Amino acid sequence: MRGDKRTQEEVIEEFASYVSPSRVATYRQLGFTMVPGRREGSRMWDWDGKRSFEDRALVTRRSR
Amino acid sequence: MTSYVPPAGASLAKEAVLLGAHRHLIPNRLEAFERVGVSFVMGRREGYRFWDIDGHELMDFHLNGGTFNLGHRNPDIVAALVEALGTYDIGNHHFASAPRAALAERLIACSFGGALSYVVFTPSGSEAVDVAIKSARRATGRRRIVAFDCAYHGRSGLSGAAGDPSNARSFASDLPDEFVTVPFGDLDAVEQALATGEVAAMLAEVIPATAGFPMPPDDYYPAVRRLCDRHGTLLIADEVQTGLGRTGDVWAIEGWHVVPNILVTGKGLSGGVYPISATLLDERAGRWLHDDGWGYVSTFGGSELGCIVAQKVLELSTAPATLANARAMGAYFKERLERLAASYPYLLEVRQRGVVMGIRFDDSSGALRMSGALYREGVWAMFAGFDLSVLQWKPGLLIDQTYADEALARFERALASVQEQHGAGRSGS
Repeated sequence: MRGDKRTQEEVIEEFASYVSPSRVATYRQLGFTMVPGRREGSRMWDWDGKRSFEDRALVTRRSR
Repeated sequence: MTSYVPPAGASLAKEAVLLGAHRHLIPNRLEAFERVGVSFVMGRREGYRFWDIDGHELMDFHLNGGTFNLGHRNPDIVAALVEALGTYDIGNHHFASAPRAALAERLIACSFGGALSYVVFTPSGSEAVDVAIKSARRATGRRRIVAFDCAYHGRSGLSGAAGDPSNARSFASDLPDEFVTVPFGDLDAVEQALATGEVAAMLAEVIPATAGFPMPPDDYYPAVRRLCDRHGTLLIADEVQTGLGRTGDVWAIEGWHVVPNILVTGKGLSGGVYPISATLLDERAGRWLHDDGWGYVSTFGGSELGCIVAQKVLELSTAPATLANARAMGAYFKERLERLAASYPYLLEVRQRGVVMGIRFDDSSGALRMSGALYREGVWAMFAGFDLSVLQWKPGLLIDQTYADEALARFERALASVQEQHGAGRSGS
């Protein structure tokens, strides 16, 4: 991500340490560890810029 | 509906804003301000000054409770936000977030040597207090919350029910069985309340702002901490108005070497440009974050733009030079104001810790009169809502002596005019 040299895994670890350990554990269980990076229109990419998602694909049963 | 006529002399543009505000937003507030001669529509703003759209200048000694600690539209903060807008938006409140993680780590690092563990971000201070209360209840399995009877903690459901209950009562939203109050500074009352063994948290507005910033005795918070430990009660420090460098320490309660279980911050964290607040939790209070990742969800809490702004705010507010300036400027004001008190008996007392300050007058409505007189002299400082004899005096963290001297000159003119009109020895009038 522009201007931020941390890796996606480093961000996830930091987030788990200080913000939400349980959320990160859930995402790891689901095999879905993703840190939003670039975003534009109805797509966003992960922190490393490797995958893009349409917003509707992110809707989960628990979201609101 | 009351008919409303804007004050004479307002421009057409100002009249239009006032009429709209009276019709759709704040009819009672506008009328109340105009009764004390205040009619203001905010226009240009810069540093520690802002101007009415018709040009009247005000030096800002209210700062929206510390929201503008670093000045209006501080160039470093505006630049951080503008740069962030090139890459970020609010972000996604479900995923791990880089700006949110980085801000949380920084908040923990600058708080009590890392004694707290987790951060929950909210859009407002009220919601941050709600999170603090809910976390304490979940950790202890108890429901009761004790707060000062002169405290203000917000206007949401739980925060509004805590502390002074008059506003919650007027909306039939007070919860007297669960929210108990004690007089500020009264240790026996705290002990009696906690001894029931039913209290989840002692919620302390560390230096109660709306009461006019009364200063606690030096042994007060250490004793409150011991009482909380003895009775299994968590200590919540509400530092929305007192934190982020205003007392000369990053957090006011640090000044008494006390570590709370939970700390709430807001207002100034926004840099005055992007709303963000936070609740810091220790291991016990934040245990639920391991058990329930969705125990608290907020679309706007921890917006990535807000997190980037708050990073810059922390960098500026916690710099040793900023903290030293807050201590020096506060001491300077106290010394100069006490010198004025020797010549003007209407001025009774100066309360001060860093730039957290209250000025008490010898008149039960003295601060109300001084707010109006200061407004006419070009200074914005508000009376304490729960004690109209005390003026809240909130200098910014980055002011210099030239600014302070200009404000003091205006203050003396206002004081002379109010004392002449209302005299000394008017307590209870």
